[in-house]
Formats: sequence, C-alpha cells, structure tokens
Amino acid sequence: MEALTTDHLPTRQEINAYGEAARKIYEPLRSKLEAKYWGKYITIHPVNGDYAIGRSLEAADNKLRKKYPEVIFYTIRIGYRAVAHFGGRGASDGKRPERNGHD
Amino acid sequence: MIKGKIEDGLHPKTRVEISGNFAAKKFSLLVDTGFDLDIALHHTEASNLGLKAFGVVSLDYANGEKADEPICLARVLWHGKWKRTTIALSKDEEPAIGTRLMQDLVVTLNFGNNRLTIEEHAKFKSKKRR
Repeated sequence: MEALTTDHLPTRQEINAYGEAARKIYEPLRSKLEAKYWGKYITIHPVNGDYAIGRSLEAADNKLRKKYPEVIFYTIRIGYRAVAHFGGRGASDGKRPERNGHD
Repeated sequence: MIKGKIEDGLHPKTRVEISGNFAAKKFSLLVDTGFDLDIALHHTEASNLGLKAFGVVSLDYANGEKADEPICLARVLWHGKWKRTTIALSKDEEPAIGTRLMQDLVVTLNFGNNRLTIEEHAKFKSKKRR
C-alpha cells in the first residue's frame, strides 16, 4: 500500500484500507498508550508506522506533518470508540486505567 | 452574533458560508449538540467545494455504526471572519455544526420564539483549546 496524499479525496476503498493498516499498527501499542495518554490523540502514518501524540486532533497531526507534509494520516482518540461522535455517543472503548501521574 | 431559527419548532439551523479550493457555498447547518467535532458535510458537497483530505478518522454515527471517514480543512465565515475549520465528511446528507465549533461561545436555543443565537462573550474569549 502506498501512502495517500493530500491532493485529493480518497476513495472508500482507500479509506478502508488505510483504517485497517493504521489499526494494525495501533493494536500492539494500545495498552501502553491507554495507560499513559488516555483521551489524547495519536496520528499514525499507516504505511511506515511512524506516529505522533497530541492534545487535539490537529496538534497530533501537525507534529507528524512536519515530517510528511503531503501525506494523509489516520488519527485515533486513545481509549475512545471513535474520534468524533454523532448523537452524543462519546463513549470510550473501556474502563480508563488507573491514573499514573503522566497526564 | 450569528442568528438562526428552529425549523418546525424542532431543528435548530443556521446559514454558514464554507469555502474550499474550488468554490464557496452557504449551507443551512443543523446545530447538533450530539456531534463533537466542528462541521460535518456530505462527501458530494465536499467534492463540489474542492476540499482535500488531510486525514482519516473513525466516526461513531448515531445509529451505532462506526465508519472511517476523511477529514478536510476549509474556511468558514464565522462571526464575520474566515476561520480555518476541520470538516468531517459524513454519509449523512444533512450538514451539521458540532459542539467543538461552539467552544467559548454562548449558544441560545429559544423554543418559545424559534430563534437561535450564537454569541461571542468577552468572558470566554481568552480560552484557547486547540
């Protein structure tokens, strides 16, 4: 899979492949990230696995964009079902781990 | 102050101009307090405006469906100034404004006279959340 670039709107097939690739990168990191960065955002380069964490969607994106200015990234809200919700469904994925002083 | 109306006594809407790379258009946007990003637009409208994606995120739809969708940057005429805003592309044909665009503003829904107002307030102006 090649990295998608910001010069167009991706197709449904490209979007789904991107999400799948990004989640494969995220899953092995999930428990470590949820313990330390619950509620923050992780922006992932779905092709090479590089990532950045930020307090907002845009903050995480901006950190990684310095290295890859024209790549479309995939962003996850750590500990949450989705980055954005309709219908007030702002549910998290599970129980927040004990706070450990990192956030 | 941005004004709008509550259509049919049920649906608060306001007209907002959104500018992309090809075009600008005024949309009647549902003020959706259950949506927690800035603006949601249907894919077709985003394409017509010439929006370009900078990312993909998962959206949790009100029917329980979860889907990956592109996010784009656009300029929105908001309180008399053009503001760079994140647009989530949505399967829903009804465009919406979410609560993240309302941060630091005072939103009044008056179901008595079916009027909507979105006001800046000096007390909240100093807060920067992004």
